[in-house]
Amino acid sequence: MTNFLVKTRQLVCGTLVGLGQKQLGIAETNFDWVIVDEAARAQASELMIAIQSGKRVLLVGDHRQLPPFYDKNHLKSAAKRLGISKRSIQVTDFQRLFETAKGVTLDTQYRMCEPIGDLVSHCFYANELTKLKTGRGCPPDWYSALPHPWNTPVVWIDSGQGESVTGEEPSGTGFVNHHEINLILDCLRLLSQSPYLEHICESQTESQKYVIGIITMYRAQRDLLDQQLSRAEWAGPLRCLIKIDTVDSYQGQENPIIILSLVRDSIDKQQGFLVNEPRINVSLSRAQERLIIVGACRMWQNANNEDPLGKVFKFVKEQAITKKSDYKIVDTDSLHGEKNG
Amino acid sequence: MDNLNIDLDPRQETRRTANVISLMLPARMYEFECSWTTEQPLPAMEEFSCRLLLMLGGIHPNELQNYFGLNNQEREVLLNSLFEKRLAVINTDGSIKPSSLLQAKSVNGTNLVPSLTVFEERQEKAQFDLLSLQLLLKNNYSGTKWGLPEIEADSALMKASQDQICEAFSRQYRAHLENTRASLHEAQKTRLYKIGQCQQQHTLQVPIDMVIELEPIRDHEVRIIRDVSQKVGEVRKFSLSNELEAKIADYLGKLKVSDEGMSIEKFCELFGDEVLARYVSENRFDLSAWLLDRDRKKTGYGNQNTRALLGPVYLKNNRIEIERWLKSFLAGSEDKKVGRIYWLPADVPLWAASGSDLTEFIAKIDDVLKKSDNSHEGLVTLFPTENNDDNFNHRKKSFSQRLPHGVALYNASSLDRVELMVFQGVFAIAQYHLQPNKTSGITIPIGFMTSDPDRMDRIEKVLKDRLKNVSNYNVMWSRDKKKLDDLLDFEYLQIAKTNHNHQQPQKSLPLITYRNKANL
Repeated sequence: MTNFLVKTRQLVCGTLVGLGQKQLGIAETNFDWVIVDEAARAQASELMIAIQSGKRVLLVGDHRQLPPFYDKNHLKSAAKRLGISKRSIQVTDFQRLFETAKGVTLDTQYRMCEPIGDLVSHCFYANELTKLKTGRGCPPDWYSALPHPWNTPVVWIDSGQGESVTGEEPSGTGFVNHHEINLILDCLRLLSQSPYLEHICESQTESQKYVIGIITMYRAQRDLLDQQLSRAEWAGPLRCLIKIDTVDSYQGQENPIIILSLVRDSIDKQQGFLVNEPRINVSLSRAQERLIIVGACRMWQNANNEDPLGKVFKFVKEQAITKKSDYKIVDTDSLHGEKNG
Repeated sequence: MDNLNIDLDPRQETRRTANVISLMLPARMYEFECSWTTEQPLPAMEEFSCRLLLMLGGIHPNELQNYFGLNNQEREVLLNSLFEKRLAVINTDGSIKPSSLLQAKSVNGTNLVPSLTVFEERQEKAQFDLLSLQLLLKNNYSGTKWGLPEIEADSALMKASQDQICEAFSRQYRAHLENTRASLHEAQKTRLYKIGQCQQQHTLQVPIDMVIELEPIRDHEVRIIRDVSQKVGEVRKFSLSNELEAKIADYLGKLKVSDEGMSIEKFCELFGDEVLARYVSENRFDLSAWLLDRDRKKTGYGNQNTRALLGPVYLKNNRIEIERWLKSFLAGSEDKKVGRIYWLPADVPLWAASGSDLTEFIAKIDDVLKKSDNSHEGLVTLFPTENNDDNFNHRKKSFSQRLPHGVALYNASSLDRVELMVFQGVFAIAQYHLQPNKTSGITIPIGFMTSDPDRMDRIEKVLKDRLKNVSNYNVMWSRDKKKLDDLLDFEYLQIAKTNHNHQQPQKSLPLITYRNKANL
């Protein structure tokens, strides 16, 4: 029956691996078009399962974002057996096709508001496009009325300053940064007390379950932040609007507000995998209306300038001078809290 | 660059315990019929036989017999056991070799000899909270839990299906094992194989103690650290899940603290607290600066007769200090006796919300008092009450099992954030409940205890002033069925001794038993 449907329907949808099931008979079917979404995330030869059945093939993806995941041991073993470098295995079929067939780069994005779109365009797509256009309007007016620093589309909060700087701390195989967690909680508390909280709640829809996304670069940071947020009494109205996850779990998702916790703040300026461009690209390009980057400026201010976050920091810093209403660098180690009484 | 109006000051961070609050979590007991598999080591001789088989690849039964020095019967028993456990197989030439099972299990090296997997069916009882379905430990709570604040159960989880509960148990069975098995080793070697059946049993309330710590992070700002965990033995802690923590946080967030009554500024003025007054500006108290100065020993009152007090009186350190002062007073002479002890509460939602610490405070103070005066009635709590007061029964329910005596005083001044405790003729305590975070019902009492005659006089004066309009009174409850004359010194309190058989509100008081929590 399934085979019958595959052979007779106008539109057949499935995952790359799922379509390979023998009983579907994909290999014996001929489609006018095969369209593969997120094709840059397909592992080696996975694309072949689907494209073997198409007269014409359209691959949609972005090889500047996260590549497919390979187990380290598998990668090592495959490279050894094939006698090629690990790097050449990591280059995706999509990227090869894109480069040899001179693929087309779309020049308009509809997810991010202009300041966020410009940041992503400048830092990650400058080689291919003069500028990535933004095909959507400005954020709703109430965003501008939010308390500082929420009233600015792109903000970098410097977590590497002040008396309570703790910097990164090793935790298991990763790192945590308590100072960044406190900063994020302070920011969220400001939002929870804002008179515009109602608007934020109204942004929640069936398809957009979470209005605020918090992306952390390390799992340990995600777990600690999740715990701290759970303990916050003020967080009641925001709790169901927030999703916390690591960058690797975030590709393909988007939220009106994104807070990015960079975590790394080491004396010797070691960035770890923050040097990875696709990872940074994905984490920044999830934001639609507001992007708050929480990270230690000193990590990318005078060092690591040529690395992805170095470029991001430089761009935000320059724009903060000429486009003050769109970009800001906040040089404090916390947001102010209440006095007692 | 923009600034967020924070004055940064490179001061040392310090953290202090400022309160311990007990709460009751709604829970239900469930009984599960579980199948477990437990890995147990093989008997030594079988284990060594396996090692030999793996090492040599094969061995004749007689060689095995000689190796262990067995007689024929013992050899046969050993061989049969190895065959029954499918660890060895016999060759056509009569020798034995490792079975495929033994080879598979020792694939990571001959040192890893297989263990014996024992299958066991047994009934397990486990309690889950009715807020997030987290497994709660059966702990021996040391304090009195009656009347502690209760968090309302989630109505959907009250009707949780068997599948939901089985899923929750299978997700958390490791914690159950760690809490119920004799050793951690045994718990680690045991695995849940199957849940046959799950039966819903009675609902109950599980008390937890919540430690509140304060950490000054800069001028004017203080971070509140809340640790809710159940203790497992002396060392290990069983942390609550984030979901349950969030439910507790939401409960605390909904508690309202009234701003009515005396301000902190007025408190300092009225009680002559020149130390706290230094930290008050525009009617706000800079708790952060006070904590930092306290760490530098700069919050003293200049002599030993008065000392600062952070947190409720029953907090361990405060209780020890109060005990010490009492003992020191009584040590002077055998004839010395402590007068009555009055406690005037504060009107904050979590006042005296303590199980273990409050119980210990009452007991320890009683111990000290009874050593010099066996008939001493102990602590008397005074509750200003109005006619037809809805709070009357609520207060009685909340405190009658945790405080020895409660007296209702009609037409006394309303309670506010000020809390007083007077040890008549010995020393007195005045505290003000700060609310460090406006979005939380948690308050932190701060103030001083004093035996300085002038300061004591001020505290006593405020106490008497608040009671000056009292027209009627009655005993709400009394541990030893004491009478009003035993509990109140009318002359000292300057209360007119009339109408002292005031009718109590007629609302029926529900009998507090754990059994009737089942109707949660």
